[in-house]
Amino acid sequence: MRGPPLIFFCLLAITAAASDSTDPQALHPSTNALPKPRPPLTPPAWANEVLNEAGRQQERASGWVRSSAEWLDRFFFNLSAPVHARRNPTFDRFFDDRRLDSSEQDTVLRLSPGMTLKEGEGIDASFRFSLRLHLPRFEDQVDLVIANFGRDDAVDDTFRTGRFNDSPLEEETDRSISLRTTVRETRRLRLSFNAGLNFRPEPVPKLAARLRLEEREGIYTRRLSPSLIWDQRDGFGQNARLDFERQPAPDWKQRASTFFLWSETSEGVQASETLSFMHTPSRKRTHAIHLGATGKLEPSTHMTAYIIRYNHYRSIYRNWAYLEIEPGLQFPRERDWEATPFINIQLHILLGAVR
Amino acid sequence: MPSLHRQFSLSALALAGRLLLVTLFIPLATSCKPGRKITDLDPAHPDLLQIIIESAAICPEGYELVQNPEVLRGMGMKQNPDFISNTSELEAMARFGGTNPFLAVYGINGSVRMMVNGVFFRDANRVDAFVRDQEKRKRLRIAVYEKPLEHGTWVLICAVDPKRTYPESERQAIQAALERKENNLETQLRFIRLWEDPS
Repeated sequence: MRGPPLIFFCLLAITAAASDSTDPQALHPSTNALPKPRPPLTPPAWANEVLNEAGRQQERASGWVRSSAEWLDRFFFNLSAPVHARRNPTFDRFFDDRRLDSSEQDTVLRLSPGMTLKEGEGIDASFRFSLRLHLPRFEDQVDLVIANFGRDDAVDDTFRTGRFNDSPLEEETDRSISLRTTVRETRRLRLSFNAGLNFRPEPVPKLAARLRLEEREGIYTRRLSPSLIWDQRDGFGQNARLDFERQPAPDWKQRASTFFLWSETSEGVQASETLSFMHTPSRKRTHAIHLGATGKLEPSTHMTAYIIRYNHYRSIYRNWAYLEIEPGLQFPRERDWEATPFINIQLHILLGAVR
Repeated sequence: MPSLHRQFSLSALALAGRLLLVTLFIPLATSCKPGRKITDLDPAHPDLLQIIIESAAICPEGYELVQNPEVLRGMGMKQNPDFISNTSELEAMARFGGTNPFLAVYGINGSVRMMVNGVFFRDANRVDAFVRDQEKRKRLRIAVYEKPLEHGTWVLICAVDPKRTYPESERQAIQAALERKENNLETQLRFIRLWEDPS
């Protein structure tokens, strides 16, 4: 496990050395005034060379990701299309597929090396990837998602592995592949279906139907997101998330989220409540504080954990390298409510259609 | 009777004259001599493709019309050049308001080097949106021309392979062919991005 942290720290050192750490146009959060201009950092020549080479490699890899997505999209389309409607690759090479909007290229490969330091458990290095292949030939409604971790519908986002070890199921899921299709999408409603396999390591089929209902009124947003899930091994389950959001200013947002879950393996109804305060001073960085509590409502009500975490997410190089730092404290019942500090550090490299 | 006979003789003479005129013009209308001006580019004209392709003299020196079965079959064409009948492409063009798309495939020894795609727009106001869409596709190496008519507009797109490096001689031949076409068809250049490095 020495490799990933070493690579991570090398990347971190290089990018930190080269990037200007603050957005010069960002207002100071407390005084709301423009900060004094600082002399621009001038990285050494070798760092410039390394960064330029990294940029070239990123562009090359992004091109490969895009062309692979294009090939797969055409392949799946031609499998289902009648002969007279199939796309000809030579024609498309010269003229493009004019049915597709040239700006709609959403295929993104996200590579996320990271590490978690947690009291009593040491350093846990991880390397996550997720590839979302947008298949625009299917009316812009289908994405193929391949990842080395599965989205676990049985856990609230706030309490996911890496942030809070509350999901043994997710740790067992090594890889997942799924086809996600949006059946209906309007300003207020979104209905999507997800079919795929989790590899644990044996392939386990899974199905999910997700609905999102959203209503906006001035600075307030109400959102209800129920899901119906099925997993061949764990059976049926359903969850629902209710969000109340308030956005008093374009760069500030507050959210209260309530999450309920029942499944054949959940031993009753689980629930969690999270309060979040988010600040986005510029397009390049965002800060958030999350306070959460989770527990069981049935068969008897009892809390299982509390959590407080601060999340800082920022661009460190152009628009494809991001750093996420997340220190926090958790108070799990299993440790007799003892404060357990942790910190997650993750680098996110985006390849493909990076905007 | 003499007057009737005279009338008949005059009619026969007029008919013979018309036939002579027609027979004189038929070879002119179907020949592919470069430099001849176009008189009829109506999409319904039976010899439209010959008129456009041959009169334009767009075939670069050293190139020929390539009978690439993969492309012809794929685009629903019976010959080269021909109108495209691939329904996916017809739908795509219909979305922009384009009709009667045709394709001419040129190359050397069966290898496709250049394609010419024409699309007719009955509503000339819809041409701009299509050309803008083409311009956004930075990956393509194309030259887009427009030929306004009274009853619509032809858009002609000449494309080279974005993944191929063309030697200078081929570039010059293609460039010369495009200039010939521009003069012969009296088209207007909208934009040219044939030799830019693809981004």
